[in-house]
Amino acid sequence: MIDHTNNMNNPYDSPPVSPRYTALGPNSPTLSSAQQIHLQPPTTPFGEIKLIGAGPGDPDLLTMAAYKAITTWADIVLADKLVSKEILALVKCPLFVANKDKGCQASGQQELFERATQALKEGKKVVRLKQGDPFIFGRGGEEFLFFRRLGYETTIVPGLSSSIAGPLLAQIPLTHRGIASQFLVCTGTGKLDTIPDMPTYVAHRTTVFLMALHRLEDLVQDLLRAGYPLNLPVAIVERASAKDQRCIRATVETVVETLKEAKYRPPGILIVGWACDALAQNPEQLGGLTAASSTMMDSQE
Amino acid sequence: MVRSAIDPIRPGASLILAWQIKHKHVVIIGGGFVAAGRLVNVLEADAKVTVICPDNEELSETVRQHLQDHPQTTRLVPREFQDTDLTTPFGEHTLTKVSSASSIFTLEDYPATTATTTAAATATPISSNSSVSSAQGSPALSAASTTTTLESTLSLDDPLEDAISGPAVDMVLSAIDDIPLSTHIYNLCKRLRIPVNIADVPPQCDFYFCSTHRDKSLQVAVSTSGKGPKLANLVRRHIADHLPDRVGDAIEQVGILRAKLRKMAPGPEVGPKRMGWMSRVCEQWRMEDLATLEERTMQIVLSGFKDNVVFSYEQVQAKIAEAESTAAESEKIESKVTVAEDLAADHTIAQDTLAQKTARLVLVGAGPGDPELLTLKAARLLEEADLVVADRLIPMEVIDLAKGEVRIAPKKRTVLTVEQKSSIDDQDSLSTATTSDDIQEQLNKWCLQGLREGKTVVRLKQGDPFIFGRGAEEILFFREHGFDAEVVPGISSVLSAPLSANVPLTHRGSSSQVVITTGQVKGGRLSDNFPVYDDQKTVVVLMGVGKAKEISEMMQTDLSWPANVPAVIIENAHCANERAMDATLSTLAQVVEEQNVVPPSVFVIGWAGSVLRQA
Repeated sequence: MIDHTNNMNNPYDSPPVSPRYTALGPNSPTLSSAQQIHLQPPTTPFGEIKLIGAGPGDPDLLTMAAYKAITTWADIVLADKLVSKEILALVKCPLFVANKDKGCQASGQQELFERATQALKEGKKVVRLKQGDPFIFGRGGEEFLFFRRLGYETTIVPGLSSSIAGPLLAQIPLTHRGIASQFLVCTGTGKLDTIPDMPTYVAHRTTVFLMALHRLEDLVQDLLRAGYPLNLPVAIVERASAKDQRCIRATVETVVETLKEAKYRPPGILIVGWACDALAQNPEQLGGLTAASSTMMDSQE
Repeated sequence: MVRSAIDPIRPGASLILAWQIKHKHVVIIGGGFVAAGRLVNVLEADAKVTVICPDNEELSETVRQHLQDHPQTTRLVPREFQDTDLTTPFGEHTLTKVSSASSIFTLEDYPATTATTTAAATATPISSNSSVSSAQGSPALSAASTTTTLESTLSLDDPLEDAISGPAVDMVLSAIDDIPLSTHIYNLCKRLRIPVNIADVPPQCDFYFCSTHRDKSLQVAVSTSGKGPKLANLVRRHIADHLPDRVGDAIEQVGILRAKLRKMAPGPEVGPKRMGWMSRVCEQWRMEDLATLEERTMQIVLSGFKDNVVFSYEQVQAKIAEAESTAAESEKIESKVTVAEDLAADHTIAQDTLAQKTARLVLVGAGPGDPELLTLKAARLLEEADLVVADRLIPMEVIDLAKGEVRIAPKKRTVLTVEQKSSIDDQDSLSTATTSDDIQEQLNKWCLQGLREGKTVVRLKQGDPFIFGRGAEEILFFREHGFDAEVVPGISSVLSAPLSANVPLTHRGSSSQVVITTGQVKGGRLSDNFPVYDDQKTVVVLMGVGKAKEISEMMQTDLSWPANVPAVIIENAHCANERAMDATLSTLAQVVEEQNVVPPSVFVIGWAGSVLRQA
């Protein structure tokens, strides 16, 4: 079935004509016996899989490719729990959302793999939808390898990673001339809840921590040990791109207290570096809250 | 050019024409990848296409996708070929098995009798609802149908022109490997006088498909008269590789310039002057300069026509600079006043107040280039904007989504990026310096102008506006002028280029941190912010092509990176000419040199490079 793909690059040549058409139908008088072999239904239908980044949550921030894939292309969509409800509402075909609550991560992933494998064996077009970008702390590489072992090459569609879109939506430039010439993205949680290696302090770098806010107190200690100054600006962007997005600004010194007062609502990212204040408009903003909207909804819980 | 002798006739060639198949009806039989190639060819020429393929399962993904994407101009007839397919107009195929006596088609019948179309006609296009309705709406519109009344024609929402157009089918492309059926189709077409191409059977082709290269309006076709398609392909690639940069854009802009000239000097009496002047413009301007023509520069160029003068590119740029410095002068005075005195500032803002009510500025990330990777929001804003001010390297496919005015950044006359300085050795260009700062200033000015007119302005930036895009600087600039910008994130190539080359920037066990850095800082110096070796760290380097050797040496000697760490080089990510090359840290510079790597490229250095890439 897939032996034509090698030639797909070159549709303008006149290579051998596709044998696909040999499925003219059993009544076709023109089939030779050799061609009739092709009429046997293939024993294993060959599905297709796309691994797609859904972006930070706002359906408007889906890529065109992602939108088309989930609305018209897919036969089944397998999504992570963190993909927003608004995006999941666009899905027209059967949808399965993995349960990856704490303690269930492994089994949730396992079930997802099983469903995907089943659908692929049935020849279906599978969309594996992940929040953000599939290759930025999304375990996308592992899934890619899993499906490759089954004989499927996954098409990967990048999505807006909240590590980049989150700061932007809070008007924080990760790079800014004279302030930051590089940025680093890492997690605040290592494998099996261990503490990850803390990157050393570099003045011209903005650091974005994902999955860090539940252990913020420890993380601040790590920061200080790694040489981050007390007065270094930090920002927390909660629920980036959602209607109730909020940005909390503080410094390394004050962030724990500020977050306590603000009552953290996951998910959120932590941004550390001088660029946090590059666009800050006024002093009040530097030590407090900037809510994108006054309506605080719990829609994303 | 004067020829002294008449060239002799050299028989045996094909007649190469540019077939205007727009809005005409093409029937493709087959759904495999040959059919896919044909479908692309005719859709790009704006034809209406019926694809006949018996089984949905047999459709190639390309065909399926195009059918989905073009519900107005494509129809799928999911059944075997029937003779009546060659007499059925676009959108009027019946899905049900034809059973009535009138359906039995004989060659002798044509063209006196009609194709079978019944009121119950139900074509089933693959996806769109709109195509269902239009297919059902015109069951009686068969051109060959003698029973169709004028009333019924008029009562339908299909345009009348469809009903009075010529034959039902204008071209037939068979892409199946069933030789008897192909021959049958060929014979039918001959009888019906429909031009036909039977794939892979040259004797049964009225025409062959050329190997083509397309860059907007420019199409280069290579024919070997059916003798060597593969060779045609190689020749085509060779030609394409040797075309000047942006020739497609140049042709587009010259097309616009010609139209403007014709409008300005329409008379037939000035025809020769017009032609002569246009030729001189085309000859005297370099291709890449022609490509930069836009509304304002065209006006300046056209102003020379009266005196039959062709201004050079440099002259035009000088005139613009002159006009702008005058404008800038007055602006400077303005801003001095605003700094000096609050009252004056209030005044300036008061002037803008009216415009501000409707003015809207949005910084939009265009992503890495592929229009499919635009966000829905970006695509919508492009459509809504009154004015789009775009970075220079954004592909036309993206810019074409804009419905309002579009202004594209002028080309840098010295260096585009620090990186290009090292790859281009062009001393001449230094004489007419346009730095990135100049360009930035120009773009800001265009935006400001639009805003003051109360327009919705989209500032379209490559990738993500805040990732090495100077977006934040622009926000500060416009804020100073009283306008708050919204920002829409885009997919940054720093993340998507590795993804495109199957390099996961994070991967359990291989990479838990990603550092994204420029290879050079201001002034072309090597950035000294590279991280110390960590086997869980991946480094993405932008603008590193000219500094590959230094980066590799510094990371190995000063920062303890092992020589054998994978280094993946991705050039022109997400573009048609994307290349991904594997090296190690120690061979990085060598591969860059041997493979002649050019910007824009990124390096991905770290063990994540070997996770998914297969040797």
